[in-house]
This record gives sequence, C-alpha cells and structure tokens, in this order.
Amino acid sequence: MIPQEHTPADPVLLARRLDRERRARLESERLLEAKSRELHLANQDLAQLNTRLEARVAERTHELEVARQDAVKASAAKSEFFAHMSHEIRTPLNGVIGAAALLRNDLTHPQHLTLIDTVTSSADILLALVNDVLDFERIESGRLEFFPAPFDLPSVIARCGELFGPSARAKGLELVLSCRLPDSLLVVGDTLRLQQVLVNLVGNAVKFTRTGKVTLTVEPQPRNPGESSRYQFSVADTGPGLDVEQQARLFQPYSQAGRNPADRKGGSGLGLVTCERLVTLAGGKLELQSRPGIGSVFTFTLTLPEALIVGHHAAPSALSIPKDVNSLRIVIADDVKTNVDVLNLILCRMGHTVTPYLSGLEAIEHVQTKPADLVFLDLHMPTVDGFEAARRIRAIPNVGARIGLIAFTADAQVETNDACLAVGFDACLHKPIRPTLVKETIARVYAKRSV
Amino acid sequence: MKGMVFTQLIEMADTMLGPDQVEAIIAKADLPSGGAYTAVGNYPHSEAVTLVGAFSEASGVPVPALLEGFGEHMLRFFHSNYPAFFSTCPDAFTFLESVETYVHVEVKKLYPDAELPRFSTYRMGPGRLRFDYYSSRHLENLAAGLIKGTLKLYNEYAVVTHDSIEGEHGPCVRFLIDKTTSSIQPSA
Ligand code: HEM
Repeated sequence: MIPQEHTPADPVLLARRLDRERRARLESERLLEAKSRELHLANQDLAQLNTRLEARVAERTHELEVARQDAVKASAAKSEFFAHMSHEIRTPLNGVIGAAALLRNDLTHPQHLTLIDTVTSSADILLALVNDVLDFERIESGRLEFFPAPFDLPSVIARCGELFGPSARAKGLELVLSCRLPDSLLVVGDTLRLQQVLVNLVGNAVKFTRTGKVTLTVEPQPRNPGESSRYQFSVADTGPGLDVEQQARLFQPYSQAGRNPADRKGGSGLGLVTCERLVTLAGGKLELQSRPGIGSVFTFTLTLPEALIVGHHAAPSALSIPKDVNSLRIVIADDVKTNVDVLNLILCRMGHTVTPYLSGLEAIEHVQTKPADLVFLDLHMPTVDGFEAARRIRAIPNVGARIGLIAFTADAQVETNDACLAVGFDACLHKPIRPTLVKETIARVYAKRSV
Repeated sequence: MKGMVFTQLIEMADTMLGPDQVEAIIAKADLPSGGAYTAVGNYPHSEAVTLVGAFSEASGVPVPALLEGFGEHMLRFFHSNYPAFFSTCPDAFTFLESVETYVHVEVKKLYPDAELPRFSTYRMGPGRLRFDYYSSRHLENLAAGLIKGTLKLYNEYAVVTHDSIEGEHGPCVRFLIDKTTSSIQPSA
C-alpha cells in the first residue's frame, strides 16, 4: 500500500483528528492493559493447572506402582502357595509310595500284588507330575540351583538304557546307546539335572515312537587346549515327528492347556519345557530337528569339565568319594519309626544300602564297627541327640572325619543350619524329607567334600 | 465488529476523499464512539453501516461498489499483515477454501469476540469453485471484493457471479468463481 498523508489541512479538523487519535490511543492502551492482565491470569491458571496435573501424574504413578507391587506380591504369593501345595502333596504321596512298598513285602496273593503295583505306579505318575510342576515353578521363579559334583558320565547313559530298555523292548523298539566315550569318565556337573533331561527326552521318544528305534548319542566335542570338555547329547527317534507349528509350540509352557483333550499327551506337558529351561540354565541350547512322518532329533551341548582327581587312582583326602554316589552305605537314626521307614525307602529306591536305627547310640556303634559312607541323624532324639551323636562320630579315629553327616529336623529355623555345621554336620535337611532334596543334598555333600 | 475494520475503512476513505472530508464526515455522523477507533477494539456494527453510507454519499460511489472496493483493500491489508496465511496456499482456490477451515478458525482463537461468516465450498471441476456465504450481516459485497482481491493477488483471472439462494444451511449468497468461461487473460 502507498503510505498516505492522513493530516487534514483545516486546523479545526486537524485538532479533531488528533483528539480522535489520542482517544483511540488511550482506548487501545486500556484494552492492551486489560488483555495483559487477562493473559497474566490465564498464565497463572495454566501454571496452577500444570502443578495440579503434575500432582495428578505423581499420584497416578504412585497408584500404578502400588498396583504393580500388589500384583507382584500376589504373583509371588501364588507361586509360593503353588510350591507349598506341591510339597504338601508330595509328602503324603511319599507316604503312600513308602507304605505301598512296605506293604508289598507282606503280600502274597497275586491279585493283591497287582493292586499294590497299580497303587505304586499311579502314585509314581502323580509324583512325577507334581515334581514337573515344582521344577518348572522353581525354574521360572529363578530358585533353581545346580549342584555340580563329579560323576561318571558313561554310567548316566547306561542308566538311561536300563531305565527304558524294558519298555522299548516291550513295544518292539530298538533302544541304541551310542556312547563314544571311555568306559569310565569322571566329569563335574549336576548329574541329577542331566539325568532328568535325558530321561525326559528318551522317555518321550520311547512313548511316541511306534516302530523303529530310539538312539541316545553322546559325543565329545573338539576343543582347544585349556578349554573345558564339551559333550553333545542327542536323542533321535523314528516317531511321528512334528510339523512346524507343533515345533513352535513345543517349548512353550502350558501349551497343552488349550488343546483338544483328544490331542493331549499324558503328563503335565511341562517335561520338555523344563528340559529346555534346564539346558539353557546349564549354558546350552536344546534344539530340535523334526520332519513329520520321519522322526525327531533333540540335540544339546554341555560343558562338563573333567573331574580333578588328587593323586593317582586316589580318592580326595578328607571324604572318600565312593565310585558311585548313587550306591552308598548309609546309616539312619531317628526315634520315630515312620520317619525311619520313609527315609529308608527313599534311599533304597535311589540304590543305596541302608541300615536304619531308632537311636543315636546304635548309629554311633555301627560306625565304630562297620563301614559306612554317610549317616543321617535326626536332631531330636532321647538320650543321645543328633548334635551329640555327630560330635561323637566325628571323634572316632580314622573313620570319623571321612564320613558324610547329614542332619534332619522339623525345625524350620535357619539357625539350626549353623548349629549343625558347628558340630561337624555337612548338611541339614528340613522335614518333610523329599527324595529330590535328599538326592540333591547327598550330591552337594560330595561336591563340597571333593573340592 | 472488529476495530481493524473501522481503522481500515477510514484509511481507505482518507485515500478516496482526503483526511479533511473524512474528519468532517465523522464529526457530522455523531457516532457513539466519537470515531476514536483502535484496531484492537470492538465497535457496534451500526457505526460501520453509518460510515459506509456517509462515505458513499460523499464520494458518489454506491454502497455495493464501495464495499467491494473495501474488500479488495482489506485483502491487501490481510496479505501484508498476515502473509503466513497465504504462503501456504499455492493458488486462489486453495486460499479461499482455507478461509473457513483455517484462517477464520485462527481469527476466532485470536479474537474470541469476532463475528465471522460461514462458508461452504465445492470444486465443480477444474477451474470452477462454488463458494457459499452465510452471514446475518449481509456483507456479500465485501466478500465479493475479498474474493476478487484474492484472484488479483494470485494473478489469476476468473468470472465471479453471485446469487441469493436457499443453501444447505439456510439463506446464503452463492458465488461461482469460474476460471474457464473466458479466454481473456488478466492484464499485467
Ligand atoms: C488472511 C485472510 C483473512 C483474515 C485475517 C480475515 C479476518 C477477518 C476478521 C478479523 C473479520 C472481522 C470479524 C468481526 O468483525 O468480528 C473478518 C470478517 C469477514 N471475513 Fe475474513 N479474513 C480473511 C480472509 C477472508 C476472505 C478471503 C474472505 C472471502 C470471502 C473473508 C470474508 C469475510 C467476511 C465477508 C467478513 C465479514 C463478517 C461477515 O460477513 O459476517 N475473509 N475476517
């Protein structure tokens, strides 16, 4: 726009225009002032709103955090309850299994024997299910620990053969053990967990294969000098195989849950999931190659360092490590008969030779006169209690220091552990006595002694 | 009505009639505000009607033509004061369409007391825009000037016709802006 000359020539009109302009200016200043005040107030409102919003955000964040903590707590409580219930189920179940085994000795009628065997095998299945759930729960909550100890790798493989040979033969299957290892090879690892994985994989293979064979292979892996030895384990079958979709679902927990009951395979469905988690926790990776109609191969590789043996052909100094931690000479002492019976049974079932006593004194006498590898002592016994018995056993010349001592007690306090260690126990078991815990504890005692 | 309409109207009148005559007309009009307008103020619509009538009488330009001229003047004013509204639009039609959906929306935010018309637009094929104007203030001649000013600004030529009709939202003035009917090109 062209700038205009806005000044009237006539002085009266000029004065008028100036007056008009002056009033317009005052008016605009007034408006500006009002607008500024309005803006200032709006700003204050905004600041207030902002503070209120921040407070609200903080409040909500806090609420969310509380809700999250509640959820975490609830979940932890659920897991705990779950684990607790599993234990609770296991204790009477062990009672059933123990009592059935004891009862079997007194039965002669063939029909009664069949019935008692059904009781035992059903209870065994139930126990396996509970153990699966418990194991899985322990893995998922990060509470699973490995107890590495020296063990003979070839005999673990042989045991799988012994365990599944009969059922494979009964189905007309061939069970091949291809163990490219020396006859005896001591390595360090958690033998129970390794066995659990192998038993699961071989058991599944035998269960689902109708014709052909199941092959368990162990091969040492090439290694550089200075590296620990590694072994590849594989379980191959000529079973129905799995399609891609089934493979994807395989290592997912609870994947059986939504399935059509007809499609469900027996068991918790957690076995393979647990295997996969165990192998992963042990630093390996469980892999599957499978083709429908042809078969499946599960493979994993683990690092299992060779066990260090001090001296030539000699056992480590303090505790004599028996060749096989699964066949020990064990002494038990507890004044409660049922406790002795159950523990006796548990240990016998693991392959140990057990001598049970109802007093501490008898156990001490036994150790003084006969060979023993391990003694289980109840802490609360009349006359000579577990603490006293342990002290006396440790004091026996030559023998005392080499024997493994395990306390067992109904006390839940942690202090008991310290008191036990102070008098020379190697470990303390809290009741109820559970087979896996017994196994783990024995393995741990030997692992500790062998270091 | 916004003060900027008044200040611009007076500025245009100053150019048309000279400040002396404008000052005399304002004095004679005996306006409630005394004619002391500020762009940021708000004044009765009736004062604008009075002023337009008085300027028309003094200049001999009929009210419709005066309003149209004022529309063109306002558009130049808008362009120099709010260039951002134009720079985002590549052509006249796009800008005209954006008045309802964007320009007046922003105006309303800046001046909540502004009394704005409503438009609805429709492309009737390439080069033809239908532009319906709804307002109780009946300033269609001002709108015509704003439209023509826009075409000039974008250096586009079109035939603009308008008609009072019953539109979608009630009585309205329908503008047809047609760039295809004539081969006459705008003179430079
Ligand atoms: C950057 C461009 C534009 C701006 C900033 C703008 C802004 C405004 C403002 C501030 C008013 C006064 C409201 C009141 O008095 O309360 C107004 C009114 C009006 N505007 Fe716009 N405008 C623009 C473009 C246009 C265009 C292109 C048209 C085309 C038709 C238009 C048509 C009108 C009309 C006709 C009115 C008078 C009120 C009525 O008729 O009800 N405007 N505009």
